Amino acid sequence: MLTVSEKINIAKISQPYAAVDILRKGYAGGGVDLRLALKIYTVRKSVEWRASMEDDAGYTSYSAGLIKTSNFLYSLCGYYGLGSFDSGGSVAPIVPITPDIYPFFISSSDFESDGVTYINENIVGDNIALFVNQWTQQWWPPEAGFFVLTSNGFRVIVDGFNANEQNYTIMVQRVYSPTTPVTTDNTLQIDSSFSLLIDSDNQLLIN
Amino acid sequence: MAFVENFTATQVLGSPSEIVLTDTSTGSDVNIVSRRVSFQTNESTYLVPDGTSTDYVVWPIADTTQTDDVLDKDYALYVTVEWIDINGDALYTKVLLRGFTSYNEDELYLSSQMEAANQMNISDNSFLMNQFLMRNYVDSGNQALERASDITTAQICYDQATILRTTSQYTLNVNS
Repeated sequence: MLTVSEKINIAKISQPYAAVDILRKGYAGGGVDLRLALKIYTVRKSVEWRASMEDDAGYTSYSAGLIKTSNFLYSLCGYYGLGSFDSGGSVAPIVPITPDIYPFFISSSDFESDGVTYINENIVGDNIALFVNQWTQQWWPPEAGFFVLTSNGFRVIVDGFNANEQNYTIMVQRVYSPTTPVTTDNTLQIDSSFSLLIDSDNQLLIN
Repeated sequence: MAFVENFTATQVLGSPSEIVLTDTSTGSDVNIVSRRVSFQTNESTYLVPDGTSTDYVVWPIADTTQTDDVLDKDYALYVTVEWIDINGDALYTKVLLRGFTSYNEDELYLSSQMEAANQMNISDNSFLMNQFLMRNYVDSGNQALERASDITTAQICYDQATILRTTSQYTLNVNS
């Protein structure tokens, strides 16, 4: 059973997720109550205040009214407050819903000083395509020689591209193919046809 | 050890009209014989318990805590404590700017309980909008104090929330 404190924390996380989800769903919030985030906030503040006052008053256990109101708060969180529970009945920390960041726009000012490197930890591990508005106005698919994924973003490798010399507007979109792991410029891939050998002089050989 | 003046001013559950003072000073000064506390509003008036003729309340040195019944609504107040000597002169002075919001917080909690007890309140636009407004006014008043030490703006916000509270039979009436 969730404690009052846990329900308050769930509400704190549910409020922004509800707000963002409603925004993403556009007109009419996709059926979600447009005021849900505000409702969660309003009730959560009251529950928090009452809980702190009962703590200060030395209550050994929270009042029945507070328990019921906190249960109501949890019910308001709905889908946004779902978490995972272990078999013992205790509550594991909830897995936050990660907002979908794609597609998003970047400009030349978002590149590093070298004019070709873009750093964004949020895209690491994703396969992406780039649409460079001021280039050929075409999509740069992954693994096509326009850019490479790096350990913390991507680097443009096509000749002539320099964000320091041109004001680019680039859309970054996620793609779900190919399904095989995406090669980065700092990753060594060896498949079954190659073998790694260490010789007697401790040299690494790739056969 | 040298005397370092300090105190806290809080409210307790069930007593929204009271302010509880706790002396948290460290060190000592043998010249201190008593304390005085005053509660000044944004209009430079002073709140005192009924029957007090002065602008301040005496806080005996022997009492680490003191409870003063001075509030009839939510207030933003300058709480000033003076540690005084035998001549009545202030040796040390500490001023805190605090918001005392138990009246309106109690009402907001009650409204949340009403929502929990009657789910139809969720769909009542009058109820919800007034509850949101009240919450906004209390939070805005708190932020005016915390972010800008603005007692006037804080009091205006608290008073707006108080209007909603004192007319709650209309503003938070489920039968809209």
